[in-house]
Amino acid sequence: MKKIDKDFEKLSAYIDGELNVAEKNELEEKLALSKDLQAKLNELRKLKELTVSSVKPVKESPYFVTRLMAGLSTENRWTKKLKTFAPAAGLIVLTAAVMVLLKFNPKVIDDIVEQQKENIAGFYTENLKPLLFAGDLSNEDIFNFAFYKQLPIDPSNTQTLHLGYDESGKEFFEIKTAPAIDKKDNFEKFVSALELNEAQKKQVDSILNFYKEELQTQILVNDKNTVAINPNLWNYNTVIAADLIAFAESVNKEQFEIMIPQAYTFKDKDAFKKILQDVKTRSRDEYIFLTPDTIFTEPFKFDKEKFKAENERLKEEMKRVGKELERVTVTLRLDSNLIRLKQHPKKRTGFQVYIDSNICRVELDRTEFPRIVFPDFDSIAANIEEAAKHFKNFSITIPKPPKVRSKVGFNFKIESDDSAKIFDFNFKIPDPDSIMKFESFMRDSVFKLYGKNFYFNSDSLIRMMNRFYKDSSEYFRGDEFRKEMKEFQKNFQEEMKKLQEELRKLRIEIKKDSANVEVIDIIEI
Amino acid sequence: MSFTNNEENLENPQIININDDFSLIQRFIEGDESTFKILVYRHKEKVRNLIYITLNSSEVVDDIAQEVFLTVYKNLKRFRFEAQFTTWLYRITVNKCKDHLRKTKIRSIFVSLKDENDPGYHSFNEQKDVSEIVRNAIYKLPEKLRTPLLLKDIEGLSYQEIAECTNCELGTVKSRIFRAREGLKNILKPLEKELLA
Repeated sequence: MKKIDKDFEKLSAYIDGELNVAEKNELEEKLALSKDLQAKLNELRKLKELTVSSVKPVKESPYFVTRLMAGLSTENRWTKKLKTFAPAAGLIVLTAAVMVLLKFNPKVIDDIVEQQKENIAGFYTENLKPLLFAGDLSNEDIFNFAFYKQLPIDPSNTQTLHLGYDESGKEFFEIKTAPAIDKKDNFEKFVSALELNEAQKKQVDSILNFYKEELQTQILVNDKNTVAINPNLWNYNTVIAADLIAFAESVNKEQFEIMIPQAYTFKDKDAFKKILQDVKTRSRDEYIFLTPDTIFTEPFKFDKEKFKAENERLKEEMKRVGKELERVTVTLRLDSNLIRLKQHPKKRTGFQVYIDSNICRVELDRTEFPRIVFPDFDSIAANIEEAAKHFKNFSITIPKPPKVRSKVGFNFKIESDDSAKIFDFNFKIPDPDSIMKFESFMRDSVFKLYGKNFYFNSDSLIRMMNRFYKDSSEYFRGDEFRKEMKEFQKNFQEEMKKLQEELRKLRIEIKKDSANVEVIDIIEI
Repeated sequence: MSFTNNEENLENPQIININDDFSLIQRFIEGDESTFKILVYRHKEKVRNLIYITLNSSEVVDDIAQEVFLTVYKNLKRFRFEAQFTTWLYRITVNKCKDHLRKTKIRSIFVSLKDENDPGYHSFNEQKDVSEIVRNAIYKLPEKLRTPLLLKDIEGLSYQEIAECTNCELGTVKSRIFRAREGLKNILKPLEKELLA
């Protein structure tokens, strides 16, 4: 740009009052000397005046503000309407987006569901610890677990885990707020019946101690009210029984044959040993998780060694600071989600859950039940089952318990001078005068009486109590009583037949020696 | 929204200063939306005039001014107090005018704006009003020269404020105002003797 133009531009800024003092002084000096600049200054001033004077203010609009405010109100109404319809519009857009997404990636929902499942599983499988500490389990507990399928899950023996099979052979487990009854001293009876020496006692102790360690990894809990049960418990149950039976056979075959009929001897001992070994070594890393939200199965590996080390370290630490480890009590609260599952059977996914204030029962009817499959395991398991029944009978009747006649019960004793056998049938019935003793029986009976109609919301125990007191004959119609009576009758009749046979032989001998014989009548049963 | 101020007071606003605008905006941000009406009363005529002189048309002034204040209302809660309110207000006004011009230009591609009977030119002799002649001359200036000139000479903004309104450098504003005056002189050359004597 020419210098003269630059000065003219400065003149323009000069008349606008936009020059600083130095620029202004410099320009004024030039102005004083240059007629061209003076002329230009006049021209620019005139142009500015023309511009300023040419523009007259626009005529005022009297309704401008009123119109503006009305416009703002409308705007706000539209904004409100938009806000009202925004969710619907959003929903439509979302639906369209989901449709497009599903068209091009149909697996996305499954992926999300799987992801969420993993998240939930991850949440509930954190920080799991054994519910049963090996130190809290006695030999008696393990023995009773093997033969009665009951395991105390707290040291005070107020809650028990029951394993069972329903009529169709499906597995179920129950957590009951009731102690096991009539299961005291069974192990001691077993030991004395086999006449074990100290070394053998140590041997059986070591067998049971091994299972204590194993069982503690089978039921896990955490601070999120999760209970994780390894279905391998059922296998352990069978295997412990089998192990004890095998042990009994090996240490005292004579007593064992008295206890167990010959038919139950395990013919293929090698296969049996293999099965024992496999169950011990091949633990299943899949647990059934009972959580406050849901029940599910999930692969989970419990690091036993790590836990053991950590527990030891913690114990040492607590010992050092002079405190004791506190046991966390886990309360299993299954909330309304499970009630909904109950109400909508179609939505169930393999579990049926029955719960009231005393029992939580989970039937695994449609679950792919993780099992360890062994060759011929079923036939051996059936043997073990039968043998275990004999063990139960055996351990109850031999040696003789002190005769305490209960208020309600049956006591039969048949003795014969010339027979080596003593028949002792002592049926204990829980004393109805004591609710504490009685309630355990009541809880056992609830499912048997109500079956699938088991109540969710009402306290079934109270209902049963009322029912019992209104008609005490209810008990005597109960399955358990009927079963016991049937068994008793069967045994009694068999023994009577043997007795009759002996008497018949005796009579024949007497007839042979007819001289000084007193005829004895046959006792008819 | 409620506007509770006395109309009489609003129609005769007191002398405006920066602090007044800022305090009104602050109250608006804090939830007193009635202060917006005061701001409108204070600045509506400046905005309307700026539109009028920028577009040289009284027909669209109110419509565009309404748009300006609606934009102000929607964005006032985000005002950052870094510049004068008027600077921000004029920038919105200038942008609205530019939008209008752009739309008009696009429309003119499809529709001839000229009346068939319109000869397309007017002799100065036919235009008796000097002010009108000058306004027409100003309107013939390119928009980028016209706006800074009008903001300076009509609205009385400083070069710095014009630079902020039009998003230009200070030197550019200075140059454009000079060039606008030179352009105006050239347009008015036929009447140079009468007008610039």
